[in-house]
Amino acid sequence: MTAAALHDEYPPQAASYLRDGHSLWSWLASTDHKRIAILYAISITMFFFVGAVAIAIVRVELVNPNGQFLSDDTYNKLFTLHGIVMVWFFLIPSIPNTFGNFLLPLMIGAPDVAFPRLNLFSWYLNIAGGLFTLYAVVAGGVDTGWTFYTPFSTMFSNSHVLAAAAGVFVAGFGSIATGVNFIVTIHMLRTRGMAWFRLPLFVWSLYATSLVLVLATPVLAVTLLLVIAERWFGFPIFDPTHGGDPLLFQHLFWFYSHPAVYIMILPAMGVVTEVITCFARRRVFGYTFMVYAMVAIAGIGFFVWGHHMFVSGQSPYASLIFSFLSFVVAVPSAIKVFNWTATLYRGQITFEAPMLYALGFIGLFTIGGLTGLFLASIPIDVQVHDTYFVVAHFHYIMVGGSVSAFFAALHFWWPKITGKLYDEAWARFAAILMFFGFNFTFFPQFLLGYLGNPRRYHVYPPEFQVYHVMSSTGASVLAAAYLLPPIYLIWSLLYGKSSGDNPWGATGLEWTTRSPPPKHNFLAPPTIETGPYEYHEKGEAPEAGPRVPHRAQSEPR
Amino acid sequence: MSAAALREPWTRLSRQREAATFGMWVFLTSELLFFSGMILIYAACRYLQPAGFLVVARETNVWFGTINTIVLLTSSFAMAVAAQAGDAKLRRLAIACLAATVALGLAFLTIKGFEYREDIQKHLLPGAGFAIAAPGAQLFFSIYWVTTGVHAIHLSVGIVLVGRLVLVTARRELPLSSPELHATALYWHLVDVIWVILYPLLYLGGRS
Amino acid sequence: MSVKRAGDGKAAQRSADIWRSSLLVWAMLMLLVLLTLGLAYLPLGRFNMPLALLIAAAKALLIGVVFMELRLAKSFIRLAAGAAFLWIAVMFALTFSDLASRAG
Repeated sequence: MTAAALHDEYPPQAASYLRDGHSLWSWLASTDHKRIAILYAISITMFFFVGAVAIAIVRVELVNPNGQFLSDDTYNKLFTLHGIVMVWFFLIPSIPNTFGNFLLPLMIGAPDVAFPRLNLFSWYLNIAGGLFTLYAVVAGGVDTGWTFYTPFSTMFSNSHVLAAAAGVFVAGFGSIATGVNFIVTIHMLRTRGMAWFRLPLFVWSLYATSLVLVLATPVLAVTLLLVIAERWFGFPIFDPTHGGDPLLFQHLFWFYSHPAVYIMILPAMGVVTEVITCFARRRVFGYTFMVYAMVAIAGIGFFVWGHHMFVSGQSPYASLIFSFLSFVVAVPSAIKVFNWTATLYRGQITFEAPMLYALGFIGLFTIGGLTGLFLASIPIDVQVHDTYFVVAHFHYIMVGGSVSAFFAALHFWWPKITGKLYDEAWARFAAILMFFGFNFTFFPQFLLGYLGNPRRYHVYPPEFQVYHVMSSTGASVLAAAYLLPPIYLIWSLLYGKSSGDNPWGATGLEWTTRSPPPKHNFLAPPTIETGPYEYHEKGEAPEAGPRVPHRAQSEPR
Repeated sequence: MSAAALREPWTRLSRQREAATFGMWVFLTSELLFFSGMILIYAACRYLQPAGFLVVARETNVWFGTINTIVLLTSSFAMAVAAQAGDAKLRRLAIACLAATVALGLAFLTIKGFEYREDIQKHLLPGAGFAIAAPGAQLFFSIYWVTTGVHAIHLSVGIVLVGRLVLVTARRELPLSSPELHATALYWHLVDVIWVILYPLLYLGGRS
Repeated sequence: MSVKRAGDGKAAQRSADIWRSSLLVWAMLMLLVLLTLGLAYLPLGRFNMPLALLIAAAKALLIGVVFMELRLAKSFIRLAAGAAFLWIAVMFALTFSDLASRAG
């Protein structure tokens, strides 16, 4: 059955969203959540490359203990650029604004999000913020680190702090808009029968993420505004010579930036559940606990920010409270890891590319999370704070975790978004290469940090060189692994086989409509009668043998 | 006429209005957190420099501040009447009250303008040549200028939104049943609530 | 806001109803402004500011409950409003746990 014939079979109102207008304007002015998702996908990919090139230069530079071709100043600007771009213009929008935007209405049976024009506006806010930031780079860069600590950023830095802070400020409002949109969508646009506890866990993860987006991002905005006010107008706020406290900046900054990491990981956790249930042909273990765990992570995540400030001059009593709460917040994450493992048990597991990424997530997120507990312990943190140990910890979670999940999502939903299949062999190879490249890059950094190599330093003692060389070599393998998906995915767009509506036999509501979906998602609003992940009867594990045909969530029993 | 207000993906205007109200409340939650960051800075700085804050707080013009508070509260009153009038389909009352809201908002900004001018003349702009040497004094006024400035920007946005409503409802381009009326009203009331909290912090300290 | 007004068809009556409830709130708000202004000049020491803030909270509550129609709103809207204050309280409490317990 050729692609053309498949398309001809469907009535006109089922015409793919990709065919609804071919001009550039039809894309740039589209309020269709699926097109907006693709706009975001393109922009985050471009930002990813900017951030990746910046750190590639840094990793090359670090092969030599005394540096090679960069000045100290340029070095500082490069790691700052990497941090700012990767955090705010890649990771924060990545899964929520691409897969979240595309899939949320599909997963709840809605024709679009609650406020489609606001959705488009949020992309433009993101782009405007990105342009401010790129201006800061082109004009000479920022050297404060992505954390903009005062009083350096407000009083002493000679770099383009204002433009970068303004860029992040503007992009932040795009995040808030997304959060508002998703919360209202999930509350009010669920189709008939789609009760809260029948929602797929990816939707729950977007809900928890949106709560964080709405409550945390404004505090970042006001913090950066105060930095701008102090730097631009000379209004002393964090200035110790006027009686101000620079640590106040850190309190406000981390009040946002710690929950921000949950913005980056919660959607990833949602993706992992979707992929694992599908490729193990299993219902998720402990659905209710998974829901409460995500909401708990989002909530408790707001109360732990002081663990970034154990050595900044924060009082030991406050540090104690924050340390305790940081241990508490690990519990729901651990519950999720146990539940994913239990979901795999007695499953009919196959190792397609999305599954490889999801399994990689579980391992790497666990390592990242456990090292987080090390850091939550004050005595250990005193030793390893501001060293490569911290760098390795958060990269295990953000890259080993979130980016792996992003690629899992990309491969899992690629057929739904494009209607095409990609080359499975190359995809598996890239996944495995990425796993090895990632570990080669970042595991040595745990050792470096523990042995005392500080972060953000341009030069280092020669006895650490072997670890840096390992890390930089790993980084080149990782870079190669990142370059593979764009190649075979573009090939798939041009020459790939048609995927059909549900190539994986998954149960989500999004798989019951065409691939690619029609403009209004469903020909008729679906009615839901069952819960998610009904890969087998409750209480029975799928036995080894031929795959039992699935029943998607909206199909009648 | 209702069809003009209904938008994708909504199929019923009542649901769309509920969504707009809910969405605006969620946004207002983020706005509350935004301003509370500034208020936290105020509270922390006051905690660190209590004597300085007390001395310098009486330099703000309590008459401008109080009159502005009354003006803004009255504008909230006008806006509340406008929203209810819209629900009751009392067109002229709604439009008149929306226009009154705009007028009162502009009055606030005008008075604020005079106040800022006076503040500058009294050398209350932080920086070299600041009028008061007490420690923490410039901190207080930095916070004063930033919070009132950001509030004024929010108020200006509100004036534009309400002004637009006056025009499009008067020209019958938007029905009164549109979700925009209540959503805009909520935003306006929030700008008022913020001011109500800023007023004692910035104007009533150190007066006794 | 899907609230139905018990309209009896007479615009003037509806108009009067609307004015009445809102005017009452406005009058209370004006009283509170005068009260807080007056109290500011009384030498109450460290109670001046907390009292002023309490009055401000009362004003905010009036605006929120009546003008912003929280008294008529569904529970998830009230939850959104309440959540903001809970989060703000935590932000203040934990920050002050540091500021208030530093040595020296």
